[in-house]
Amino acid sequence: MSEKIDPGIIRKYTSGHYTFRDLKQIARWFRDDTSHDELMSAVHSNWDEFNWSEGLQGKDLSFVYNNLRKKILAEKKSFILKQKVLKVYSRVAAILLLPLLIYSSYTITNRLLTKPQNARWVEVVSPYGTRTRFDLPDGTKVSMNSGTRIRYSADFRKERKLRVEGEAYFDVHHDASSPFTVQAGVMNVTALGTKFSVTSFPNENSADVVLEEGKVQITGSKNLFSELLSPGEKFAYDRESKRGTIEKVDAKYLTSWKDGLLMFRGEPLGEVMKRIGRWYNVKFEIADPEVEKFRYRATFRDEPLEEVIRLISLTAPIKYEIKERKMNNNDQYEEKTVVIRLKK
Amino acid sequence: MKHADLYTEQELVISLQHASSDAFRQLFDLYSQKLYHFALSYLKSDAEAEEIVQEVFLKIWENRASLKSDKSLKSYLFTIAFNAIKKKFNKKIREDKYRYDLIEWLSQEKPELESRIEYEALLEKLDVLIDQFPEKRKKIFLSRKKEGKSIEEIAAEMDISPKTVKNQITEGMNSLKKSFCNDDLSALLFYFLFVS
Repeated sequence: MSEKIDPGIIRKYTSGHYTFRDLKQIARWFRDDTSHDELMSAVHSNWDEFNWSEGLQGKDLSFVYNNLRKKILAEKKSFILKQKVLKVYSRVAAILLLPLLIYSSYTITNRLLTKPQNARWVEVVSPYGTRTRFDLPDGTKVSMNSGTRIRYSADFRKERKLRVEGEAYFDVHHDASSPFTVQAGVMNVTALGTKFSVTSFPNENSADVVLEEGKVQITGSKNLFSELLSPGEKFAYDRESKRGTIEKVDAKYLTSWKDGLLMFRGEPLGEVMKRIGRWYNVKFEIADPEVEKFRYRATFRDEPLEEVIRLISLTAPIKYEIKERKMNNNDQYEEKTVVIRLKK
Repeated sequence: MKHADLYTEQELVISLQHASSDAFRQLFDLYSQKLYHFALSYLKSDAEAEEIVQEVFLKIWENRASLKSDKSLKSYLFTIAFNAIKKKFNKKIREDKYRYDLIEWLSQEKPELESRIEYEALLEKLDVLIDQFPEKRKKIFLSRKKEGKSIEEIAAEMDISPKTVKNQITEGMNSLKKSFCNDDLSALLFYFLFVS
């Protein structure tokens, strides 16, 4: 029984001004599987006509969005948890070194690893809002930026291989007999004795390698590319177009974060906010988009977030409001939010 | 480095396929308000409309790998939304059946209730009238009509005779019939004419 669906009645229903008879018809259309396609078509027209203009009172859906984000992040985390991994977490306030903690954890895991079945990888994590430094078993110095994970093979002396998700700088211990390989996304970076950084965040479109000293070879998985980098060069890979480019850069500037320096050399404020957000694990809401185009220059070393924003507001045309962290319904602190407005 | 800029629809799809949370955020900002208000117009409930928004976006995220960049993201979103709304709508009608049945019964007596009065006004009036029943009658009436308990169950629960239960229900129905079919009708008619 598929009766003709009357879009007029649907309109009456959605407007709130409908009779009992109208409702009975609508309930029939929704209930009958035979009218599914026609109903969907009629509702689709309704959707196309449906005019939701921003001027009208919007509903606060941030709670819904937060729940979605939690699910998305949980999904990303559980992917790593599924592998057999020994985790070593480190918390660093400013740029304090905790080599002891990492090193002793490593020696413990080293003993455990005499049974090869237990774990094949060691994982080091630098949570959002912190930077971490540690040494690999071969003496290579590693600096990790905010929100970065590194996994290296437990048998690192034999084969110097590791995987990076995030941003890390390596000062590689020279060993001609053992190639040092970093895998990040589709990039595989091989070095002998060099100083370079690798950036590859899972939710960003581009990944890169910046070479300070020495030489590295970068090959792409599935033979996407193969490049040789010289000092002062950056290889940037665009995930979307699947293409890489090499450009000359100031390597020291791009890797200055490893020394606890937050530097901006004329980047647009949009980018500045993004980097600061990642550095301090804070969310920026830019209420006036014109603000984003302003170019900013400064160097910060070990300043708290409030001070950094205050200093920026002295020279850039912005007003800011730091919103307090609130506990949400699941007893978790929400990210700190800073709202940026144009200072007129 | 274009993540600071807005994506076009095609870029959104590709970025979503690569699990970009920026793209997801932008998609949410683009469509969540419209979706919420659209769902609200069908489900007439704030909580359920919110649930629709959550279900739809979660589903888009979960199936991001199979998004087709040559198909319309907007249509895809609509299809998911429609199916979710349909499901919730049918559930709502089933759960709301007791009021629906009461109005059906009342409109046997007075056909204008079905064709000339706004349904939402009828519902409101019905709720108010039942709410104004004397305490015992209200409890019996709702146990029977809304919760679907049997006469015996109610009699046992409330420690009264089944006859009392039956009488109370009959009294309730009669009083509803009187209110709907006699004096108050003009007020409802006025309401309908006033707003249409």
